[in-house]
Amino acid sequence: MNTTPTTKPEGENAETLFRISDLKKVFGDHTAVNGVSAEIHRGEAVFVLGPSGSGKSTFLRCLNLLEMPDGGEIFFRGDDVRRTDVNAFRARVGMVFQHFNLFPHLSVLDNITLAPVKTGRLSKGEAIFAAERLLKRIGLFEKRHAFPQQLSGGQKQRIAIVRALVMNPDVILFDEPTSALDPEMVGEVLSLMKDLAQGGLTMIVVTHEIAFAREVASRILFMDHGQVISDSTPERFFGEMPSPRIREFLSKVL
Amino acid sequence: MKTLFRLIFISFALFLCACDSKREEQLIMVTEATFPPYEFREGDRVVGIDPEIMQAVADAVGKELVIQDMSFDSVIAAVSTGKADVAASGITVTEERRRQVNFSLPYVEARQVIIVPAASPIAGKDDLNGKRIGVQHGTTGDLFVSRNIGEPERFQNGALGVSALIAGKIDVLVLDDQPAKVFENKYPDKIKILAESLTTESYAFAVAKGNETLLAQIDSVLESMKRDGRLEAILGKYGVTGAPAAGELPAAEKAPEAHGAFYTNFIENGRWRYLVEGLWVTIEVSFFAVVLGLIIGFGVAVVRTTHDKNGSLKLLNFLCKLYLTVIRGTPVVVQLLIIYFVIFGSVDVSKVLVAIVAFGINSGAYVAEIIRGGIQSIDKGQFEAGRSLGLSYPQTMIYIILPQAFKNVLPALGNEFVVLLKETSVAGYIALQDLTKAGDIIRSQTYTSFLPLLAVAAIYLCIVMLFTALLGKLERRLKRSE
Ligand SMILES: Nc1ncnc2c1ncn2[C@@H]1O[C@H](COP(=O)(O)OP(=O)(O)OP(=O)(O)O)[C@@H](O)[C@H]1O
Ligand SMILES: [Mg+2]
Repeated sequence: MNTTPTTKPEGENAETLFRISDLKKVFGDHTAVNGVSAEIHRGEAVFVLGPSGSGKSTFLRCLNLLEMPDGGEIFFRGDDVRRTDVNAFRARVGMVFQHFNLFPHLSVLDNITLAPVKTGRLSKGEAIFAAERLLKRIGLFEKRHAFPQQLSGGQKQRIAIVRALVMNPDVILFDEPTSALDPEMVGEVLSLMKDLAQGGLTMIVVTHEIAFAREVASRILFMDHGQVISDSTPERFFGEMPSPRIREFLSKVL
Repeated sequence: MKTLFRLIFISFALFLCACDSKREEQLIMVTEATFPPYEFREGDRVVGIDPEIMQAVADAVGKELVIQDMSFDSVIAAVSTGKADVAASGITVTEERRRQVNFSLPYVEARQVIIVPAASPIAGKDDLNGKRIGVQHGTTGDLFVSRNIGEPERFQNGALGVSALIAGKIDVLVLDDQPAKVFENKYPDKIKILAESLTTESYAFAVAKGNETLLAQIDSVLESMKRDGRLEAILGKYGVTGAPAAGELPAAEKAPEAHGAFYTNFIENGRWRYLVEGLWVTIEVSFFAVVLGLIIGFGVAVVRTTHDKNGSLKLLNFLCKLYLTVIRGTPVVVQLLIIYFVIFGSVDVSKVLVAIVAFGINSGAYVAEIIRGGIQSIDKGQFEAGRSLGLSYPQTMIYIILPQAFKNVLPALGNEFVVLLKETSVAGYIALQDLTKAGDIIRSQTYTSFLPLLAVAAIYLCIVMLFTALLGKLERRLKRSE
């Protein structure tokens, strides 16, 4: 699949995609994200875990400016995102939503090709070609003329992933991509995500699928009360010496 | 529930009885009280020459005079259908009218005069060809001009015609001489009455055919009023001088032709053409008004939602809100007249265009709120999905939000367009001959109301049904995706 890089991350040498420092987001008198700093490198699969309400989604949504940060800085490939063209920036950062958010009035093919064509990234022909190749790869080519309502939840979410992929983004943000799915459909989505991670796609994933995180993550950020209180490899995170807060969290979800 | 229903029914029946018994003691006179000095309003009372004469008749027969104010083109029909006893509205005796009603002795001689702007070069009857001539709808002036000169512009009443004359929308206005004098006194620098009048005619009262008792009563009262000078006194009181209280009613010219009502209303003199032309005007106005309304509506809805979303476009949003408040808070007829007389007051544009602009602007306000509701009903995840893919705000609106919003509100929009189509029926106020006006013209020429009204209603109904069917088709096509 040549829409994603094929090399695995090379640790410290890989390009820094996101450099986030002291990020803050306040809703009314509630600070949802309270001073988060992190770096995301090309090729990483960063999983963001944490209890409900800890600010994971808000953090993720700040990364593509769906939420405007109230403090701190976000640099994307060296540029301050607030000084760059927001549309061009977002085209480089894909997002997959909990509720898929496919466009119900458009066919599968149109869902996928709308953005690359309208943003001028691909011609109509190129976009259809790319979309069909991706659809074949995930086994939904026959569904290309179907409308979202005719698809199962798992199929919808895989189409939504393809819709993000066709833009050939540098990174894709996943916000609980399997939380709205029936249990029997979780597997197909996770296995696609795993494929993509192994193919070298950079991803930041908010999820409650702890086992999946343990298997696929190259790094785990643990958030609580709007702060990242642990940034480590899965081996260390699930290792023998977690902090009491993490231990409490893991005991609840495992 | 049942008892309640019964109670309502009983009280309704009682109410009807009460009305009925009272009806016996009343003399119901119909008139259009915009025709000074014959009839006009003073406070909430209708006064003038006709009410005074009728009061004398009522006194003589011992009944209570009840005056009903309605549009002139309906007064004859009101009498011939028995809704009223007598039509006293400065009615000129004509052959057509004689076919519908019986006339009393004439009580005044009147003339149809030609009014022109003060500076007009028009000097007499012979200069009228090719001019834009205004008349009061359904009057003998209307009949005379349509028969002998050409299609006039028909105004609901003299005042509207005078406004149009002063605004330069017509070149001449034909009106009865007495009201014309009133208007001339009001605007002496702006309009003048030509010395040569268009026609001379007699005014008389109209009663239903077969109501010989009332006719005889009216005639005998008129006779005695003429004899003892009371009639002259009343006329003089209202400034009608030198108009002799005429003598005998002239004999009928020829026996009324015995044609079926259908023939008279639609075939005779090619009257069906009024309906066809009126239908065309109605469709033209409705169609372009819908298009204009959609454009305005989408624009306003987008401005309003954009403002609600991120607080930008403050000034535009304020203007849009003002527009919505004013348009939705005032009647469409008033808007139409304002646009005709004020906005386009000094420029000569086609009345179809004026109507399109007026109804389009009116409809836009309702469409805007419908579409705004539609936009708000779209899950905000749709918006986020669009933006997260790098689409701009306008692109997200155009390709993602608006198509879905449009589909959701299609039934409401369809309903709004049906309302609009029917609302265009007030276009007659600016003398535009739409479908409703076409029916009015036929009614005023044939003095029958049933068939022309039925035809007009049937045509509206057909358009609405056709439109609803087309809309249903469109809805089903858009629903394919669900
Ligand atoms: N648009 C908003 N307006 C007001 N408060 C918000 C908004 N979005 C999030 N919050 C609040 O910010 C806090 C963090 O929310 P967030 O959705 O980021 O948590 P989360 O970690 O993703 O939780 P979950 O696991 O339940 O999805 C919560 O207290 C939430 O109520
Ligand atoms: Mg969340």
